[in-house]
Amino acid sequence: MSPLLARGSLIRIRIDSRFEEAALVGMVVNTVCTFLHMNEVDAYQVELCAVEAVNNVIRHSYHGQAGHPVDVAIHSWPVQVRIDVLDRGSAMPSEELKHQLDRDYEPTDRSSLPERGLGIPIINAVMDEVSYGRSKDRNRLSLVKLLK
Amino acid sequence: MTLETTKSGNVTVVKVLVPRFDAVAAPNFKQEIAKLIERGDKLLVLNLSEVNFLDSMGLAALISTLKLIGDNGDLVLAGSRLTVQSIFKLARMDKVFRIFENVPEAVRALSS
Repeated sequence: MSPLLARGSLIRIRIDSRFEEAALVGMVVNTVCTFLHMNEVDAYQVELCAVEAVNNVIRHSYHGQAGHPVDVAIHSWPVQVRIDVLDRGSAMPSEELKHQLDRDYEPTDRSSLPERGLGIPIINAVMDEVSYGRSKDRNRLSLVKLLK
Repeated sequence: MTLETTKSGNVTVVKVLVPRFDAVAAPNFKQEIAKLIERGDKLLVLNLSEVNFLDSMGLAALISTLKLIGDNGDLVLAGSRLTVQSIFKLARMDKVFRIFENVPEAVRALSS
């Protein structure tokens, strides 16, 4: 194991609250996951979750408005990778995080298919731990993926 | 977003030419695909071979397209990478969309 992996590492990124910049976060997360020997599909799915988390902040905390900072910290250890997404916007309703794709829909009934609220259920399906908290005026969404 | 369209009989093959089909690309995709559907193209094969990233906003755009087509047409997917395909299962949409390995296979399925 490399010394870097043994002691863990931390990468910090600050982006503006624009959807265009979420891709940068995703690409860095994918690179870190690949460095940690995650397979291609797993690395892609963790990248997807990081992008969904950032998009969620832009959409809900900052109401789609650019010009606000979104801070992302990517911590990696031999056993896990943790992604913290921090913002100073509106707090996310607590029930939002628990949202699962529990709505019944009939695959053959196109009118019943959901077009919104797909991001958080995807995060919940991929990540091993998901937590959300607000301290002072700062929101923190933390995603943990255990390494196999 | 740039879509490249070709006709194969009564089937329209639409190739998505952006690598990231995400919150940025989804609104343009919806506009462009709506024009195709409005002009009567309702049997669509979406070629995703150039797409290396699809997020929930891109997926929502595909669901929206399926609804716009309604019951008198169909939208199937072709050429997607395993990574991109995995989001359909995560979002429980793997039973909604028919996903084919390549475009000729998808065209055959819609033509029959």
